[in-house]
Amino acid sequence: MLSGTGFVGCFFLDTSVVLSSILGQNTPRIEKLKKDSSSHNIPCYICDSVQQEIDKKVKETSDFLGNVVRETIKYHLEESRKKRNVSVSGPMTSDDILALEGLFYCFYSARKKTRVGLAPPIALIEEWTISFLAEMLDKGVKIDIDSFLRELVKSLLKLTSEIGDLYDDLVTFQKGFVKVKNVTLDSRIVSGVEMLGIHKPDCDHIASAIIHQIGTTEKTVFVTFDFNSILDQRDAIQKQFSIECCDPLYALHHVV
Amino acid sequence: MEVSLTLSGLSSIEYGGSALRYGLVDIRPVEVSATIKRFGMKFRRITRTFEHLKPMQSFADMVTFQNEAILGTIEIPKWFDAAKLIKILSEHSIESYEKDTEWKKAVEDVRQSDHKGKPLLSLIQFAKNRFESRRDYYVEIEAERFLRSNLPLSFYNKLVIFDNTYNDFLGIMENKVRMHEFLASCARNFEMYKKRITQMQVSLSPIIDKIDECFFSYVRLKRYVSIWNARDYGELFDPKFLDIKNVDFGEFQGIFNEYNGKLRETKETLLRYDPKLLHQGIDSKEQTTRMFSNMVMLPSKSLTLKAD
Repeated sequence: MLSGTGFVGCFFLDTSVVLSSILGQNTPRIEKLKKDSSSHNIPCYICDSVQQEIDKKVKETSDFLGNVVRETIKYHLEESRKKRNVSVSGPMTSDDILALEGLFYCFYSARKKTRVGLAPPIALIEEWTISFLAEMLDKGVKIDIDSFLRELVKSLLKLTSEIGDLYDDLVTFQKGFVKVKNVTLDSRIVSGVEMLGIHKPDCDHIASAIIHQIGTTEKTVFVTFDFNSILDQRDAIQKQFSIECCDPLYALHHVV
Repeated sequence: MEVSLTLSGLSSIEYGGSALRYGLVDIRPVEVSATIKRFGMKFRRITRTFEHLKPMQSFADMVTFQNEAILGTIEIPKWFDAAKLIKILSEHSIESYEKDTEWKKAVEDVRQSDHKGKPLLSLIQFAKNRFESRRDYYVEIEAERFLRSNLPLSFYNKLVIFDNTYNDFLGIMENKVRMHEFLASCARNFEMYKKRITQMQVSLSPIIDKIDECFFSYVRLKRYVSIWNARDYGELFDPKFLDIKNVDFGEFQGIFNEYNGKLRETKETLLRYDPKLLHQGIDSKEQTTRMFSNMVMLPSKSLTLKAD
């Protein structure tokens, strides 16, 4: 029985946790965090730097995807048709899927040669566009290149506007499980975290949690899904700054 | 009916709050007494209806005033004459409104109602249903404009958020009108009926004011971008290409930030009026959501594509 065993403290949430909550990802872990927070009255805070990073990430991702559709995919589909002497305005066929296969193949081989860029964005865009188009062709929908691109952009606009609304509900208007906490950063602490190999803006997020813990003497736990740059350093962070970092699943058990 | 929605902002559908103000707030309940003959006997029949406080003409005045206000606050390219721009933009909006017989009929139905049904609720439900049925088309228009521009997708995203907010606004209006019209229909006498309708109008006015402010900023932003990308008056409503290099970036940023601020204020106001107005979660299994969710978690530096 966990209730009544004296869980006192607060959670500082990383960008990955807030974005997962908005996008419906890692649901079992997020739901446990919300339940723990609500049933034990443990506040979930987010600091300024996390808010800024969420804004920036959503904007950058959205603009990047928009540009890939508007420039890269459009150009390649049209050029491929021209080379094949096929009208650019005609309905799309499996040949267009093969043209995209050629495009993505070029990206994979460029990455292999230069090691510039990572595979995930290519693979994700490839899966998205090809599934989207293949599904339409399967259904027998006659669609030209312009309409296909428009459909891709429409789906992005619908999604990003929903993200914008959910972000405002959760963060801007604080109508969910998070509360905004303004913390004035101390450059000495930020540098200290940075020296552990944790880059910006993650070091700002962690520094905010540390400063809050020092200022309030409230046990503060930094909650994140970031295994690659934060959780793999959690022992060093705890040793130097007495702050615990963990996955949402375990957050409650760090505030005993 | 043809939907004419252009980058210039005003469409045959979206009049901001002004059309709803005209249909729901600028009206007054009246009792009409008539003598009728039945079975050779005279009876006096009293019916309740609404009369408009302002003439329909006020839409033209409102649009002209709005265009004057917008063009008075933005830099205008030297190849345009401000007075002529105001005239052309206003005439276009008025023409769209005049052609919108569907909307005008819905407003007229309120005036001609005999209060047996729920005329005010019918009007707002008509507006809401019509808007909802066309939302997909509105997103399509923005997608189309994005593909014929070099403005970032995040710019268009903010425009689609206005549609979402306008939809929320209509939902709140519908709930308020339903409640107040029901209370009015239970009134014991005409004085009480008038009082309830006035209460409804008092409660609707500030929400309409807020959406109008936001709509003004939305139209201002769209007008600014279209005017600076139109080479002549003929291109005003649908410039061939929207080039960010054609606008003064500082001024564009200022107008965009002002719009964002108004959008946020409006959303906050709507949430205050209806605290239950929280948006539904995203369908995490949908293809685009899955792709975006993975992509947004990647480090910024990995958002690059380089081919041979």
